[in-house]
Amino acid sequence: MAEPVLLAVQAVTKRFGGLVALDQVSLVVEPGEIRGLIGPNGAGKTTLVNVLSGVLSPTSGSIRFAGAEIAGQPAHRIALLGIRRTFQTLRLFAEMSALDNVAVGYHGHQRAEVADALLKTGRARREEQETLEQSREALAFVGLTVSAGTPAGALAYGQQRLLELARGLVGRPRLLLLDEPAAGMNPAECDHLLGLIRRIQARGVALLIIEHRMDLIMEACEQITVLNYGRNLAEGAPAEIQAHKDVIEAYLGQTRRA
Amino acid sequence: MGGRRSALGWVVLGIAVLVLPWILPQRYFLRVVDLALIYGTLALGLQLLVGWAGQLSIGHAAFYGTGAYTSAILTTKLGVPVEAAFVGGGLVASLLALTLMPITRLRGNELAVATLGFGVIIHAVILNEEWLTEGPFGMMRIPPLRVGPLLLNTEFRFYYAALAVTAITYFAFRRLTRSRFGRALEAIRQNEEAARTCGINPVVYKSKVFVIAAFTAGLAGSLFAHLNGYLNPNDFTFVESINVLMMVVVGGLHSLGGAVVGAVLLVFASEYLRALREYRMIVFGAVLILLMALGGEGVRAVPRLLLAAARQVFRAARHRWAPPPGDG
Amino acid sequence: MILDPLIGGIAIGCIYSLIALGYNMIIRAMDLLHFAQGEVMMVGALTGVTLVAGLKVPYLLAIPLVMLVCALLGLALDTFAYRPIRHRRVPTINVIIATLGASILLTNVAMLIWGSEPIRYPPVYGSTALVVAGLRIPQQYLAPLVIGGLLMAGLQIFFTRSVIGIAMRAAAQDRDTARLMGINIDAMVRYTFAVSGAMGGAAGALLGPIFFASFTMGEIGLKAFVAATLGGLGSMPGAMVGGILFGIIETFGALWISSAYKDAIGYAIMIAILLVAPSGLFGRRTRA
Repeated sequence: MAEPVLLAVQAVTKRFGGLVALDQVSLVVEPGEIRGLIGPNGAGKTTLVNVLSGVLSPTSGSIRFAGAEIAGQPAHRIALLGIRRTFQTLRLFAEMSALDNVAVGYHGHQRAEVADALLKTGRARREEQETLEQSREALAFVGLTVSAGTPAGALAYGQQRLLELARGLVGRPRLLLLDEPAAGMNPAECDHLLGLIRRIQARGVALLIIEHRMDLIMEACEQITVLNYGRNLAEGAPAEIQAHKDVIEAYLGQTRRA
Repeated sequence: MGGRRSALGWVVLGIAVLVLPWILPQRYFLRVVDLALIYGTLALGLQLLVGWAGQLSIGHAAFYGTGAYTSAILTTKLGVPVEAAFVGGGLVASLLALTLMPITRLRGNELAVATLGFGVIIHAVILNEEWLTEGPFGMMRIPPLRVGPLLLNTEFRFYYAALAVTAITYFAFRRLTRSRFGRALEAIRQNEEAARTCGINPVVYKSKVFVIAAFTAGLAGSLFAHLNGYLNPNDFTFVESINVLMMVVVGGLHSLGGAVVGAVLLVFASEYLRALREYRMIVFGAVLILLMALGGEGVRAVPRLLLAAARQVFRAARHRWAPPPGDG
Repeated sequence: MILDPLIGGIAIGCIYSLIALGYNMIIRAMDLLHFAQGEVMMVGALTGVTLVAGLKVPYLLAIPLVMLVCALLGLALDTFAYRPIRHRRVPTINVIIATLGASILLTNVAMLIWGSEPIRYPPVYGSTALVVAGLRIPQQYLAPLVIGGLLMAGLQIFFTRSVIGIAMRAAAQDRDTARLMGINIDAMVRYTFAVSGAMGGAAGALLGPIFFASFTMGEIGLKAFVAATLGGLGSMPGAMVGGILFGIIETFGALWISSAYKDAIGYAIMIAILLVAPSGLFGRRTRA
């Protein structure tokens, strides 16, 4: 018996006034899978990730995650259900330290609220302890070593990308959406990222990766979905996609007439 | 180490603050100090709202007035004991804040104007519902505060009650901002969209801060009612909301201590510069603009800037009077 | 008769529209709520009374002069107060607070210069009214209708036909692209403050003879903000329609409902609009 699917996107459409950014997009992600999402600029990849993470609501269509319908749910609830993401343009908490940034990612696993804070209850203390441990572990996992007090805004770009990744991971998601994680990375950093992606998968986390760096996508992903003009264009293993006529045409434009 | 030094600083401050009324027992002075403490509590609440939750609330006088009138009505019309009425003022104000929950969805400009409108509405109720608040005539003969058998009917005695409220509010907020709750607020303030994708619901947090800020404002209002013995709707208008905002700004956004410092500075400036009536407000307006240009640090920026300016002058003078070597 | 208050409401509404246009221009260009807009209008009203009563300037000449003064005032506010703050990359909250500071400053400087007593305009209108199709339009309502209408039409033409106007709209819509096209953004912001100042000044000069001029008039600016919200924040047609609509609603509201809660009701309506239909009538919400 096949395992139940983790994420089932069915005919999702997103309209902005007259502009159709996503048109009946469908895809399926299995638990623990590494799925690539590629397409020319403007294909709707980031819009899809925004819809999946709840930052935007779909105009129509269905999104089922771990059996539950999540289309149109607010972002914070989707995050608590187990989908985390990184942003194409980094969205860190610039004034906080790296550790605190990651700690925010663990927010959903704590319960202490106002009363606990004011009375410094045992629960508050225990949870803070746990949060700091988990956060340190996440930073170590992604390979980020920074001095405690440095504000996130002062870190190098590559470090900031890893930080966002750690923040997403610490929340123990079942699905992690990465929006161009390799942007601006040199080959060494890219290699490190590749290894990281594999280790994340080894932890049982499924990944949906938007990328323009084809070498990374082809190496890392088991299945790739291709979008163009907001619609599904192709889907398959890396080798198939690389040889796919429509995909090549979409990226390079019209095939020249002889 | 820094820790030892700051602990010592607190002890010194604590002693100074406790013996103040013994050293300077003049009634007028103590009354101004009492007012400063009341506004200190008010400003702390608004600081949490503006500096931490990022909610530019310009209707804070609504909570202040609600607390004041609630406590006054409970004691003068319903014979409720003062201690209970005092807490009642805070509670009713915080209940009122719950009605603001829907507007926490709004951003920047829209939120500010919505809170402005809220303040106007509450003020209109206080002004017009004479059966409840005596309307424009004001409420009179409000009994003084008491703690059990001890009647706090002098500025001297009142000082310690106000001091307790302000101090407790300050330390409570300090704990709050350094907790998971405070971290969530910071996350919302620094990048709301990212905070949401980490599982934080901004509406819930902003609403909670409104309730907390309203509670402390209500307590401050109750204190004022029992200190003054008389309430007038004119004391709780948009102008008053701006006053409190100025205290927060002067002390520096995002600083709890700054809120109290700002309150003390502004209350004292108001009282002792009364003679310069019109010019006073002009100076305030100009100072507000200037402080915003300095980046929201408030008066804390002043020593830093003076130091930097002094260094510039010193360097220029040195260059002028001591020609560089190898000259001529 | 229902028509008399209606005309009055529309006339006052035209004045609200002028102030609301100022708000919306600045909101559209820089997403900033200019709290001092009402005070600019107030300075216009007081300057007008000084010109007409003190310097015996004919009223119709005083209006463009007041507009000029207020345009310069708007420019001064931007140059000395807001620009330094914007350039230091401070959080938006700081700029909003700075406009609050400006409004306090202007109110109190006005009180210093013109005193705390409201000043009446000398009679600038004759008592003959225009009679159109059986409708009696007193001159004091005719002026805001005609002049306000002309200014609004002029503004539309300015924004759609003149180079500067189009450049201002471009800068408001997409700052980076406009900059790439060679448009000087700082200059556009300056023009925005100048034009909205001029609109506010006209509003003040038109309002003065109807009521009076006083340093407290800035509060009317807040009412105009409710009008701007009604029409849609950041929208020019929204400001025009919202202003007139609000003028009508306010006039009939005062007639039919208690006038004590008049302001409160206006604000309650505004809050409801912000919550339920935040784009107002014409606005477009920028966030998806």
